[in-house]
Amino acid sequence: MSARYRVGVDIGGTFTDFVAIDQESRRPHVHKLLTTPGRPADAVIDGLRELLARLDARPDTVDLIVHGTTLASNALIERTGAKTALLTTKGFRDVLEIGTEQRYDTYDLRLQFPEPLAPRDRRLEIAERTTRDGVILQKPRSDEVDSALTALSLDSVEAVAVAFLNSYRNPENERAIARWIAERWPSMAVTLSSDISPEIREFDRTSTAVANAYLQPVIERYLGDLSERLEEMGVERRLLLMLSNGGTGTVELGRQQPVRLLESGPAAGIAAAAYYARRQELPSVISFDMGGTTAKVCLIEDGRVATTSTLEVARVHRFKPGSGLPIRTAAVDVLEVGGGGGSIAAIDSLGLLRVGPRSAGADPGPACYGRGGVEPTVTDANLQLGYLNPEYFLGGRMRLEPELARRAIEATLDSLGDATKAAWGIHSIVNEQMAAAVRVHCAERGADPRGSTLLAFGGAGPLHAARIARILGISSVVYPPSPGVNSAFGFLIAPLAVDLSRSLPSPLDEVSWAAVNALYELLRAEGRRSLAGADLEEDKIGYRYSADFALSGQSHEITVDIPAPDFDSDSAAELTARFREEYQRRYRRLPAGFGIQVVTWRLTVFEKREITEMAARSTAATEQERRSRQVHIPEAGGWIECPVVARPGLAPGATIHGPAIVEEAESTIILLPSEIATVLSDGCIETRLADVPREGRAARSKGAES
Amino acid sequence: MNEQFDSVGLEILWSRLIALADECWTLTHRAAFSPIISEALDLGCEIMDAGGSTLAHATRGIPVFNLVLPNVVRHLLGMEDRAMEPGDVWVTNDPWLCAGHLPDIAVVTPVFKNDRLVAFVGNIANATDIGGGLNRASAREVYEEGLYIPPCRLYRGGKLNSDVAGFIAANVREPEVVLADLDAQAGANEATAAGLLRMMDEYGLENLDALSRQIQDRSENAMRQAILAVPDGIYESETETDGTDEPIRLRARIHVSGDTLRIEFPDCPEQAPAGGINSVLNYTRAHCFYALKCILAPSIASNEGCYRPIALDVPPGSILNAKHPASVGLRAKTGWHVHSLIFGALAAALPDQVIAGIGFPSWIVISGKDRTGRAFREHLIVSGGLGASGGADGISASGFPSSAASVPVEVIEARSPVLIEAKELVGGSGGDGEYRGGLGQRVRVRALPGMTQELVLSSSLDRTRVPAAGSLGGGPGMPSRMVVETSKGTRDAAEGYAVLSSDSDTAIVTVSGGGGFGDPAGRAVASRERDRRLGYV
Repeated sequence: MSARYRVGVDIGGTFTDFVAIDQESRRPHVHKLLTTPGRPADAVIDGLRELLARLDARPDTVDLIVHGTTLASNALIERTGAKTALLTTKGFRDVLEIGTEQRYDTYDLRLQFPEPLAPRDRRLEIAERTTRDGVILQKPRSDEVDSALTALSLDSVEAVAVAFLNSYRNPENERAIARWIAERWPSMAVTLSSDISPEIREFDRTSTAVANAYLQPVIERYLGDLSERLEEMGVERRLLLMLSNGGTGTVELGRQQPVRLLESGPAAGIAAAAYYARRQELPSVISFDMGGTTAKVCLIEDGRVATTSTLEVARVHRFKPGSGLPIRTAAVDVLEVGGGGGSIAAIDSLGLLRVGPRSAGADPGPACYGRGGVEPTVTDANLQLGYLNPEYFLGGRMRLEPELARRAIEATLDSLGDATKAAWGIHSIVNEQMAAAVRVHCAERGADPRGSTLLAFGGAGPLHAARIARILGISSVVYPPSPGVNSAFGFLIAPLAVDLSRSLPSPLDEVSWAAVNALYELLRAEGRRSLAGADLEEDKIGYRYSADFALSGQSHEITVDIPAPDFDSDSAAELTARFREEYQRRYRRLPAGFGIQVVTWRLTVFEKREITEMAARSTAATEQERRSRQVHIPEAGGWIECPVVARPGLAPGATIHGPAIVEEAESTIILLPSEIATVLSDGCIETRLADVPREGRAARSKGAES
Repeated sequence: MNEQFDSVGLEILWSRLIALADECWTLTHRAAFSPIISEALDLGCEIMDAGGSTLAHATRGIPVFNLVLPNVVRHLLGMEDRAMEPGDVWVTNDPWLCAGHLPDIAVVTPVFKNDRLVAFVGNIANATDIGGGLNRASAREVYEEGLYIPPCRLYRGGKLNSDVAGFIAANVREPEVVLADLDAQAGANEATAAGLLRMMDEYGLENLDALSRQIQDRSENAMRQAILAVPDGIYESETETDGTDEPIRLRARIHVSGDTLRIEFPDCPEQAPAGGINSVLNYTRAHCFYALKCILAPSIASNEGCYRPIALDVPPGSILNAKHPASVGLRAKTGWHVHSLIFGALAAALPDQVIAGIGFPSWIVISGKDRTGRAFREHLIVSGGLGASGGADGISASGFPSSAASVPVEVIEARSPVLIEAKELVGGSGGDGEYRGGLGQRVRVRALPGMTQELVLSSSLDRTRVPAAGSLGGGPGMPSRMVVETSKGTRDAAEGYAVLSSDSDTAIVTVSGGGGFGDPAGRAVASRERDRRLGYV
């Protein structure tokens, strides 16, 4: 087989990670090297060469490269994007700066907001106007546009966003500007707000358009460089990009709409979680990825990742919603909370023990790293409690210092009693914080965590998952294999997918169904074009339909799955029933006397892909030395001599009874008393409480897929 | 869990309560109909113990709403007809109990565990309409300002009380919307109550009394520590407000002694006979508390314990403690100014914590009828500039001290036949100083071309006479102004009220900038250069 490898490449802040899956043996091969910030393609090409050399494989054995990058997110945070201008409606130059006017922290008199990506002197007004009905009251005048463009060229602007009021109803005036620029200035990167986010609310739409323009030249340069060099190298197979929505897209899509690349890193980890959810036919899964500084929570129902249409990026305060730039794009609906292994514990001014969101980061890191950290962290607490093996951290690559952990805990938290008591306090509070985050996230989406499965990964996730599950009333936890490379693995199993939408507000009983059917024809064609670069055959393409509804007069819509559009006059009744059911589930009360309004029609076009299965890493049990150590498990009475099992030696079918510790290089699982763990055929470890019956496993089917 | 909470257990439960209150806030505004709630987020949600003391409030809720909800609950508990049963939901907008004027409606849900009252979930949100006259500046008594809802049961035993709902519906301009928003509030309360009961079950709590006591005590201690850090002494300040016919002078005297603080308002003018600018005691108190929390202890979790060390002395019958039936519709035009008084008085002692004078937000209510005769009402919120501080320029277009957001222009236009021709920052509107005041805004509003019905604009425009003062040598911000341009010329609409009778009439409202901080001579050259380049001056 000539093209046998699929390669996932993840450019992170420190490392560029590679996972190659050999499609014959279904074995994963992992490689990593330092990221090259000046020219990120360097590390990709070098790493790919090294990896192929290791596998003794020629470049043409690579079938597919899926690439994830934080370049787009970083460019917004570090402000390394293009010199960007905004053309906007007269009177609305300050939309970006005025924002929502809301105070995200009500008690802070000196709130800070991100500087606009286009400063005020590069925001130029054009006298033009479209009404709410899409009627053009005033067309842009050529002399005014000409002088604006001249001013911008004198200022050596590299990218232009155009965001006119009400352009979501009629893009004509924006398009006229695009034609002018194309004539006068063919090399200029242009983003129209009506293309990138044809939805109501001028601040969000303008912010999205400007961010897209700001990113375009940077991403264009990078992807151009990368494609060229892959070709030189002889890897001419398809290159795909990881997207914010948890799917993958073509290079062309990434070049045109780089905002779709934002936050694609977390999306990949969740794509991997969704893979296990589908494989194990789990109807409701909470993906829980806890690392060094944050934890990320996402709902996966019927194997489908929850998505949202708004992201907030480059926040001034990472955990304060409202302090960042809103971006309207389909994205995995992730809640990020400030709690990870590096989170610092301290007594606050109320005398309460608080953990995070401040983090010791990688440098100096937790006190037990011995790099000068003196504040106690979650990792220090976990070491003090015996959960971490000081000799086997990161597979033995790093030695932890229990003595330094104990001293840091005692020095800061002496009021809580001895070091073990304080460490248990830190551990418990983190568990509670995570459980609270999961609960709020579920509540906002009308879901109930009880009866779900917790899928735990990331360096710290497996240490905390069992207890978080207990707090939430969850009886089953799944731990995927190789939690450290879950993201890169996610690249390889994420399907090609693009989300499209059109706003066409109308009362449901007045919808022109022929027009909606026709609209969906257009959207399907647009979706197929987006995937075209990937040479997909028609029978490999799937479609998923949904729409945003509200009661007439209500501001916020809810998204509801709908059947495949072959709509006629009877369709209103079915859509009404689906909407009412979802509405009552969320808000408990359905006020009487309101008609239903449909606002936006949505379509996800995706690749129906054979999933590359990874072989379980070990097929035969290796003889395990019986090991144990002192571990603090209050559920078993306190300090106990606890069995310790090495995960790599476990074969599918093996069972372990808690209390026990299961160790592997990247993470550690705690099994509580009355928990029974089973190794599944895909390498996952599944645990459940002995006294709670197994939930029904049949996947429910909702919505239409064809 | 034991009734004695250690610092671990307490943190766990406390965080959980805040998360529950946040959930209530999210559910309310997502389900609401009026953009004043769903977009402008003019709501607050709170969990209280069985006695009405605050346990936790929603993080992004309107601070004043959080601060007045306990009044409402304590009043309910003291009423003669106070019997409460599961499934009851109370409603009231009594300004003397709630948020100081009629549009803010409280919905309060008692929570029962094993048939015992254990808590209340309270929720205040701004109704899109409450009836009454459109020109709020012309009211002489609260009777003219709309429907007055004394505390009563909107739901009884889980069933809608149609007598009450009918009364409300008959007295407001958009009855379906007002009732649906009350439903959103009640539904969110119900979900929050369920979450609270789950929490109590998980931790084996039969009631919340001990938890509440400890939460209040911790916050009280933290506030006492913060007050101790302020040097003992008597701090005074005075300020002027627009008043109705002529400016009104307000004074404050703050006594700091050890870990307690007392505020007096010497020579406080009598309540105004008309104009809606009277502030009731609970509204004045809430703003005093809010201002002090911002400068003394902004980061601690807020509840009533924080305010135990603070005493207030406001003469009854004065404009800051107005008696029924004073008109109160525009109470913010007086009540918000206590922030200026408190920041001004403590500027000398806490120069790094206070800010200069504030260009307050203006709420422009646009009323009219569309082509089909349907009445519409839109809330165009236009925030002014915040005062500068010793270290940073003031924030431009910031909703302080309301904390509400603006309603997007496209949302207003999509709903109603109005054309908003500009909503922009006003260069030069921030007061000069070492740190410049935040910029105010200007909006231009007219009817959609071709509309023949008139548009009525009624605003809470403040600072038309008296600009936001600078602090410690800083200059004042630019004052507010409202004018109407017609084919016959331009006329002033100083009251903040205008009727646009033709689709070519345009109202132009400029909302004030914030005051500067420190001597203008000290402003960095680079900052001045940047201000010029970006057109901020």
